[in-house]
Amino acid sequence: MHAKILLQVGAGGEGNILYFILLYLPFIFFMFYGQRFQMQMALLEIGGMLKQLEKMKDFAKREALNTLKREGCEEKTAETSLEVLLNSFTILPTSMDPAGVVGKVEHILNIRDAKLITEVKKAIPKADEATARNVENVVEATAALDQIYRIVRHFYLLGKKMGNLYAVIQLQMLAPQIIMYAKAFVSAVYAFKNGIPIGDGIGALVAAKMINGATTEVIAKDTVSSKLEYEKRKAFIIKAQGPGGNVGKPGEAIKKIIEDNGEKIKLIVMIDAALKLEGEKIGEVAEGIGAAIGGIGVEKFKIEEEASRHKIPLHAVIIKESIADAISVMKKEIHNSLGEVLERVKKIILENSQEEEGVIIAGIGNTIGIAQ
Amino acid sequence: MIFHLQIGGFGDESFLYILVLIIVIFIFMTFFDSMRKRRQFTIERPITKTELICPSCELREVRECKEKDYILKNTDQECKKCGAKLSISSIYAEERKKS
Repeated sequence: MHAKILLQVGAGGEGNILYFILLYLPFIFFMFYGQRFQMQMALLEIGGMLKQLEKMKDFAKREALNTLKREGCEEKTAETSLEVLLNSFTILPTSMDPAGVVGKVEHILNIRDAKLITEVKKAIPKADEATARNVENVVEATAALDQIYRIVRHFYLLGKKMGNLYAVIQLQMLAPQIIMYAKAFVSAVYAFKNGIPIGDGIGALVAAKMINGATTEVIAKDTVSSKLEYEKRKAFIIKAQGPGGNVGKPGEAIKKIIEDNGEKIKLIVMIDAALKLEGEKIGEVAEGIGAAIGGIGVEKFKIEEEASRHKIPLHAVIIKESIADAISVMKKEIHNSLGEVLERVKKIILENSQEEEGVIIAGIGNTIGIAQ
Repeated sequence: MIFHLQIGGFGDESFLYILVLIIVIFIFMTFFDSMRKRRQFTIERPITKTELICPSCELREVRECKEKDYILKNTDQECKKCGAKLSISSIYAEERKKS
């Protein structure tokens, strides 16, 4: 087979020089200035993202201020308190010598939580406990947005100042993910402000449905437990104390129940929301083994420690959802998984424990808008 | 097989116009995309529903979520069937219908 390739540039004559410039000049330009051009384009895009983040942060701040004012805080005090809360920081302990670091982390977090709620209560002294917790959650979501904005701005300005293409490109690559997280926090502000249950609260909701108005006692800080007869077993249902925005201390609660009931506890079932992978259905229920609990790891450590010390099987039921769903108003699909979760919990208990034995059922998650 | 690539076949001026047009479109699209990204942020409040249940006859009722609603709250609202006080059984967000 013969291939005849005819490449004819220009029709001939003096015009050829113009075509030559138009065709080859961009190549020469991109050879020397390609990276700079790419960087300017990336900076333009990040600039747009930064503008969006600023709007989100301002919106969250406005909402937080309105919430404080709604609860009876003076405008000037609200602004000062919010500024103090947003600028506060937590220094986690060093892990150079990791032995005992969990206790140190817990200590620091306890102080942080106490400080945060004290500041909020100082700003809105007339508000009840649940409202103060909700406002605390609004402030935390606002602080998260503020932090995201500051970090993105830092890298944007640094990249611009240093002319560092690779730093800017990395930020550009992360941009869609950053915006996704920021949008999730904006939805969280709305849910927290109005005290509406969020997707993360599905575990607490399951526990609340099991307790269903029965007597509860405060077993650990911000955590309640109810002792019930369930399928001829002694069931200890644990959840954070609602309806204010709380996650409680389920690790501490489980530890206490095991200590008080000795060898009677034969099973721990944990129910929590878990992050779904892209393509997975929202509200999908799955069961497995291990401590289903998020956070920094203090409560998880305590639960694993107690379960392994007493050789108690640790089962988990998770409800899949995205990060945005977890901190936004609970979607109907997540709520609809409730029936299936209750069925799975029942099945696990029947298969893994005998009558008269003790079982712990822990509903994990933020209990905002969910009482017991 | 014959590859015949002829640039400039449109005539001198046409080629120049096409090239300039491509560059203008490219610049316009880049800036339009950047501006669109800047404007993108809108706050859409979810449609939040509260489901109430009658503890005696189990009649269910769905209404818009009100301030201070929470799950397992005993409301002052009465059951349309038996007159008992309703309690909140669930609160959830419904998907906004796309127009």
